[in-house]
Amino acid sequence: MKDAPIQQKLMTVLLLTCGTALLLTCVAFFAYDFVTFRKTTLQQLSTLGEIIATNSTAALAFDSEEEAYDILRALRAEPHVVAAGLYDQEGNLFARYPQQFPADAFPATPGAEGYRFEQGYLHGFQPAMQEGSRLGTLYLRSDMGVIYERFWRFGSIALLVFGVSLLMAYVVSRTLRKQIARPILALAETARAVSDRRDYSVRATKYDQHELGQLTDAFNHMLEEIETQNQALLESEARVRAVFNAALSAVVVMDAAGMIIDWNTCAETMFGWTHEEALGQELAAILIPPRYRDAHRQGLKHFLATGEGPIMNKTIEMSALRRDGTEFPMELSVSAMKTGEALTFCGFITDLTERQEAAKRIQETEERLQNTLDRIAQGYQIIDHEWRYRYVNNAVLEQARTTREDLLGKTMMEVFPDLETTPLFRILETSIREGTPHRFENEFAYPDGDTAWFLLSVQPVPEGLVILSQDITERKRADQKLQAQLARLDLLSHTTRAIAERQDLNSIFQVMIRSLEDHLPIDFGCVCLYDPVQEALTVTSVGVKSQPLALELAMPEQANIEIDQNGLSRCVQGQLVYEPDISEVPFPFPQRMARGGLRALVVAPLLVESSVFGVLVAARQQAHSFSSGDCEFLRQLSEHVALAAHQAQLYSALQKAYDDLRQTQQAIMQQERLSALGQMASGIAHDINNAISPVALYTESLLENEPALSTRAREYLEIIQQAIDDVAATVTRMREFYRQNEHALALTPVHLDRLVQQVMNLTRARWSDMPQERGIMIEAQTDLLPDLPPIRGVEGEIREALTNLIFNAVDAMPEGGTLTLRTRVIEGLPRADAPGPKRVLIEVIDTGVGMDEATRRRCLEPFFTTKGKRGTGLGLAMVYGVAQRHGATIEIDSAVGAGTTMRLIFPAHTPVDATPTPAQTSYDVPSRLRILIVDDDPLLLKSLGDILETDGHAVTPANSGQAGLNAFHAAQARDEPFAVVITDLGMPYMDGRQVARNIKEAAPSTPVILLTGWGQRMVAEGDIPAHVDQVLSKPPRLRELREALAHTFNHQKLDH
Amino acid sequence: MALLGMRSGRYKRWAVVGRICAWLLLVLPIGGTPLRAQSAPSAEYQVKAAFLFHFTQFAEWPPEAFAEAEQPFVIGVLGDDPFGSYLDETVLGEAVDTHAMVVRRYRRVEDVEACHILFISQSETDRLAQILARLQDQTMLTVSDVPRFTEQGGIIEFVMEDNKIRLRINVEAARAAEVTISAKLLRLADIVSPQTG
Repeated sequence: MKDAPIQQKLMTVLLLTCGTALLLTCVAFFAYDFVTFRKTTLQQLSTLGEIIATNSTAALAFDSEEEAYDILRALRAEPHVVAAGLYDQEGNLFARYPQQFPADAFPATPGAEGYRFEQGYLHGFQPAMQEGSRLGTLYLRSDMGVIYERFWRFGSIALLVFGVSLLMAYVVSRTLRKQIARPILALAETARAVSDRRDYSVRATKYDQHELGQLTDAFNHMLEEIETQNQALLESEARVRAVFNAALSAVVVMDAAGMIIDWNTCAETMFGWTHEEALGQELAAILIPPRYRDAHRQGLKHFLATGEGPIMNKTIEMSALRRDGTEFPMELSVSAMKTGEALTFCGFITDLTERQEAAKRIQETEERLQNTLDRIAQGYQIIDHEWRYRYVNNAVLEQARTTREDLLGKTMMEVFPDLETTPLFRILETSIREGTPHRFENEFAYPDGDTAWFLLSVQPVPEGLVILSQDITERKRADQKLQAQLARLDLLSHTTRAIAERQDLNSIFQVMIRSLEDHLPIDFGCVCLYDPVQEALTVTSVGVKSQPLALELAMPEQANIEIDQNGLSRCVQGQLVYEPDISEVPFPFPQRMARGGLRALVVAPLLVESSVFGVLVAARQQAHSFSSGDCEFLRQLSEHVALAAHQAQLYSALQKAYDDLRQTQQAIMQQERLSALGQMASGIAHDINNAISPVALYTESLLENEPALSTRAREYLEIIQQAIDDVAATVTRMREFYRQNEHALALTPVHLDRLVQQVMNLTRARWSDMPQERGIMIEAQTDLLPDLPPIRGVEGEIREALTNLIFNAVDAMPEGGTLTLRTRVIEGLPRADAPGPKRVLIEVIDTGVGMDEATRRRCLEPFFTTKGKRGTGLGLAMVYGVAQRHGATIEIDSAVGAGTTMRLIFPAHTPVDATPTPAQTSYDVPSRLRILIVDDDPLLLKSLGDILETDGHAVTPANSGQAGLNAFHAAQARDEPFAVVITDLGMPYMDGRQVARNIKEAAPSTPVILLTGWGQRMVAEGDIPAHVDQVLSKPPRLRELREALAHTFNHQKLDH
Repeated sequence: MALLGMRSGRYKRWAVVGRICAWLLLVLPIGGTPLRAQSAPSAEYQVKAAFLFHFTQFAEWPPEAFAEAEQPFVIGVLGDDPFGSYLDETVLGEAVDTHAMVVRRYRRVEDVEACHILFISQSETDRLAQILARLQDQTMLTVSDVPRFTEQGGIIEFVMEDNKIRLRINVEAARAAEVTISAKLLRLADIVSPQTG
């Protein structure tokens, strides 16, 4: 096996493995099956026995052999049970099965309970129990045929499987072994090639990626390594030779006989012998000066004998001989090497000529350095580890203002006793301890109090510390100045930024003074505004920290300061004034400041467009304490502040202009809204007037012309008439507030004081009696200006307006209060040439609930009410209308809970020549007139016709403009012209104006009366159309109609 | 397989049973002298006595048959006692569940009360009808060797056949008496109905 080829080995291994595994499986299976089957059989037999035993109790108890045999016979279904027997209580065989099984083959007496395997049988005894008492015993015997049969069958199958498996394994392994064997054989072939030819460049072929592939790789890699190393070895040899030759030391190799056996390039140049010349010569003969040669030879001999040499493995200095006979100092180190049995010596030689010269040069340099150090301006000192001065140059002595004797050899602590408490010491300590260099600036205080700044550079060196010091006092001072300048610049920028966020003067000044107090800093600061007219300064803002001092100096805010001759007057002329010490200035203001302990004072002007509007006052308690930088800073700051203040003023002016504009806009909007509502109300009024016209006319006519009316009818008609009047009055009132300027109103001088008394009396019931019934007291006052000038107006309207205002005031005081009526005169504003017109004011003041802003703004609108269903929302609207018509303005002052003041301001009446009002002319109604009436409303047409006919006129109705014209032309043609034409204004297709024009064209002398629901408005606007002689408003009254007719004819008479 | 539904009983000494079995082997009288000749019953009656005892194992009485747990299980003998003292010896120390077995003897049927197995002696052959009529509806297993006992309404009758004692059982009567007889016992016996008799 060991010598078998790998293919065979693989096959054997596979087959053995497979066979063993199968065998073990079979054995395990058999063993398991055997045990299990025995157990199962035992169990089955035990169960069977229990059934039989139980069933056989009765047979035993009642001695029935036949029965017992019957029960046992049931076992014939179990072929493996070969015998069964029943024993009675005495242990005698009572019954047995099968019959042919001989009785003596049964055990003579029942044995121990339980079943066991014996002699190839499984047999045992089982008690037959009934009710807990044992009536007999059952014996069962089963043969093992089942097991053997089973084993035989399983064995055959196992054998078959075993054979087939081995066959399969054989077939499979034949193919598999090729996979493994082939790469191994290839590898072996390669290895043989390498070892035969020493050719490391061949490589094995790789067949797969796994173990064999890796093996091949490893093998190839190994070949590569060998090849590389082989190459490296050759290169290394060459390199060693090159190093040997390139070495800066001369290398001389000598054998035990003292002959030179190797000699490098450096040795060639050092001694003057070439490699070929030197080789084979005795070393002592050509390199060692003659006086040392014997010693050398002795030494070599001694070493060869004892292995001891004084110069071995050491560096020694000695002289050597060149080829030209000159000697030179050299350094030599010799080592002995044993190569195999031969002993060789290798000597490394360095020429010391140059080195010794260099040492000399170094010494010279050092001396020069010492001189230089003593001459340079930078201090240079060396401190040792015990803090002693080891070296100081002249600059140090100069800087420390001391002598060399005071320093050298002493410790730093002795020289500067407080050194250990200073930060400087800690830095030095750190530097020594950690060996780190430090560079820092340090302020040095001389014993006389003077100070100086030094830039120290600490450098740890082996002997301690080197401290370089440079005097930087000058630079430091300049730096500090620059720093102060920068701080001021920063303050300036900071302050201006803060100021830029403020909009009002006072806050700007406060911010400025505050930042001056905190950051410049100053001890006192304030801003005064300059009044050029009064030639005085007013203190406007005093700094928070300056407040106490300001009180002491009698300079609180709003205090006035006289401008004295010296500082302040120069300042208000635009100059910055600086008084380094005001205690020496003899003027009042500086003296006043000086009394407060202030010494240095700066007054800076606040300039806008080159005129001074204020000054900034800054003061300090220390004299001469404002530097030129401070003054410049204050000047710049005041410029900035002045600019900001100017901007703030501009801004507030702009804000005010904007507010005015907005108020105006609101007033206009208010007027627009009222106008729109008025037009709407007017339209409604027109329609209502049209609608109630017939009712009014008929009612009036019935009352006048029907004396036969029953009392009740008359009464009812009167009520209707009253109601119509009320409706007409309501409609009229609804329109009131819109009527701007009623020309028809007769403006008469009205004395408001008299009117007020009148109205108070008229409304007494409302403000006195009615509230008292509810237990509320309203106190009424009048505050009337005597000799109040009269105003021009309609007394009735103003009375109504006042009444309304009083009612509103009473309503606003549900808990009682004071009602005041007040009159005043407002003098006109002075104008360039003459005083403006006087105005008269009347106020109705209550102490009631007041109005909020929204209510106040809307309260004049019609239909706006806060009284719920009780109010119509027309009261104040009517007041507004009245005021508008009288050219008066209404002002309302009110706040919730603070009462309301309603103010009417009328222009005062300046008496002019009163034009005599035309006296009421009497009229007489002509009778039997031929009248054409035109109206598109049939009801109105009918009623008007009826009424006029009742008066005895001949009436022709026409229901449209065109029909009216037709009728008029027809009458003209008949030569029965109409005496008068009454036409409606608003009609479809042809309106009243066109009718009038056509009629006037046809007959200019025929009077035309326009009847319209817009009547009063047309009168108000002066819009009596051309060709119309008179305008009557609906609903027309009989009286008015008659008057109009009479008037028309009277005019005609006058004209004629 | 109904035979598997056995009642589990408590352990009993089986010395008495063993003795009965000994007698069963000696169905024919042997020549040995009995211990007490005057009171010793015949071998036949010894077997019958053993059978009476075995009935307690193969039959069940309803719980109403026992008023209380300590009430004894009574085996009664009506008429002339053919067992002598043998029956007493057989049941001595035995018990059915908690009920200790006792033997009582009655001369007249009127004396019978609270009896669970009643053996009616051949001496009562003439009065059998009256006796059975009287015992009707009582929870009682009636046993007798009077011929045609079962046909007249008795429950178990001993019959001699080929020198062996066989059993005849009137199942109807047993059901009427509410005594449940084990199927194992019924298997051995001839089942008799009064109608067939």
